[in-house]
Amino acid sequence: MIRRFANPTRFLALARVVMPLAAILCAFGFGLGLWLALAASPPDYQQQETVRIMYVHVPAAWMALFVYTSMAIAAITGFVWKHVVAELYAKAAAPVGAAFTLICLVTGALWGQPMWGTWWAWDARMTSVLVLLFLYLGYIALVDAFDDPQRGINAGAILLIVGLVNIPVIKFSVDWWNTLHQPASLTRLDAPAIDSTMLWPLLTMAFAFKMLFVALVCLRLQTEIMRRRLAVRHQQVAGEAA
Amino acid sequence: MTGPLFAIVARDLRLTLGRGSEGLVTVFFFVLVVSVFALALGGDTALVARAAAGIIWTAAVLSALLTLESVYHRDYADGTLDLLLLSPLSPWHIVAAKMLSHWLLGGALLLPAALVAAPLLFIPAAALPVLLLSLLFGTLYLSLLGGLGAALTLGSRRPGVLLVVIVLPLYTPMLLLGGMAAAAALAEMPVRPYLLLQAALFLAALPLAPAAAAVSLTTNMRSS
Repeated sequence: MIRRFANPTRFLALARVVMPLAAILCAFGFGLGLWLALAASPPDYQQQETVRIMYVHVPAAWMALFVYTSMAIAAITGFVWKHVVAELYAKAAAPVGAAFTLICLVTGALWGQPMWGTWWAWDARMTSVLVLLFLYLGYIALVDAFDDPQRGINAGAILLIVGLVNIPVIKFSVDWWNTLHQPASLTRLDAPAIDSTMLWPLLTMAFAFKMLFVALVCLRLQTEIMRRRLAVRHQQVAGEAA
Repeated sequence: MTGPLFAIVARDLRLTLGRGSEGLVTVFFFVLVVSVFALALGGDTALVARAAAGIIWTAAVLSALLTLESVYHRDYADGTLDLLLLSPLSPWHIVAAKMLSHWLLGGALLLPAALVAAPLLFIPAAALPVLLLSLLFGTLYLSLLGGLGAALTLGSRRPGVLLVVIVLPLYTPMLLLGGMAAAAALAEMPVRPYLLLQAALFLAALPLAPAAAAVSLTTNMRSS
C-alpha cells in the first residue's frame, strides 16, 4: 500500500479524482459549517457572540498540529522507504500548515482581546504554537535554500523529525502548566465539555478545514510533480541539442 | 575511538586560536551585546537588574550562533569535511568532535565572560553559581543543536541566516528554563527543578543531536 503510491503517475491518477472531490466537500462543508457557526448556533452564556471565533480558531489549531505531525511521518516514510511522493508531500503541505498556524494565532489574538483583555500573553500554549509557526517557516526556508531540490528535501526531513518533540508540548501544555488558555474541551475521557449545539458546527468546520487541506495539498503535489517532470524534460532537450 | 576525536578537536582549536583574535572576538561580542542591551534600556539600574537574566541568555545565544559558521562551514568549503567522512571514523564521532570544539571555542569562553558581564547587569554574587551552572547546560545544548543546524545548512545558499532561523525555535525550551532558573535565583527561590530540567534536556540531546547531524551530513554529502 505504501509502495503503491510511491509511483508519481499512480499518485497523479488518484489525485485527479481526490482533488475535485475534496474541493466540492470543502465548499459544502464551509457552506453548512459557516451557516451553523454564524447563524444557527446559540451565543455563549458568558462570551455572547465572540464564541463564534472558536469555529475558526479551534479547527485551525487542530490542522496546525495535524499537518506538522503528518509532515514528520511523511519525512520518516521518505527516509525509510525512499518514498518520492511522501518526500514531496512534506514540502507541499508546509505552507498550508504554516497558514493554518497563522490563522490560529490571529483568531486567538482577536478572541483574546475581548475575552482576556489582551491580544497576546507569553503563556505556554501560545508560546508553543508560536514556536510551531517558527518551525514551519524554518522548514520552508531550509527546503528552498539549496540549488539541488533533493538536498533541501533531505535536510528538511531531518528538521521535521527533530521538531516533532514540540507537538506533545503544545498538546499537553494546557495540562502541564497552569495557563491562561483553557484546557481541552473535546478530547477528554468523559463526555466532551461542550454542548451539542456548538459541537456540531465545530465538527463541520473541522471537516471543511480538513477537506480544504486535502484539496490544496493534492493541487500542490500535482504542481510539484509536473514541475519536476518539466525540469527533467528541459535537461533532456538540452542534452539532445548539445 | 577517542584519539582521532581529540585530534579533530585539537585541530579546530589550533586553527581558530592560531588565527589570533577569533576566540577573543566571541567574548568581546558577548560583553558588547550585554552593554548594548543595558544602554538601550536607558542604563536604569532597576530595569537592567530585572532584565539581567534575559540579557545574558540572549547574548549567549547570539555569540554561540556567531561561532558556528567558522567551525563547520570553513571545513565544508575547503573539503576537509569530505576527507573526514572518507576516514574510518564514524560520522557520529566526527560530528560530536565538531560540537565539542564549537563548545570549547564558544560556550566555554562565555562562562568567564558572564562573570565580567554580571557586575554590568547588577547581578548579585550569590546568584552567580546558579547562573554559571545553568549557562553551562545551556551553552552545551546550544553547541549540540547548533551543530545539527550547521550540518543541515551545509551547502545552502544563505547558511548564516538560515542557521539562526532553524536553531532558535529548537532552542526555546532551554532558553525558557534558563530564564526561569536565573529569575528564581535572583528572587532567592528554589532553583533545583530548573537546573535538573536543563540537565535533562542536555542529556537527551547528547546522543540524539550528533546522530541526526551525522545522518544529515552523510545524505548531504552523498547527493552533492
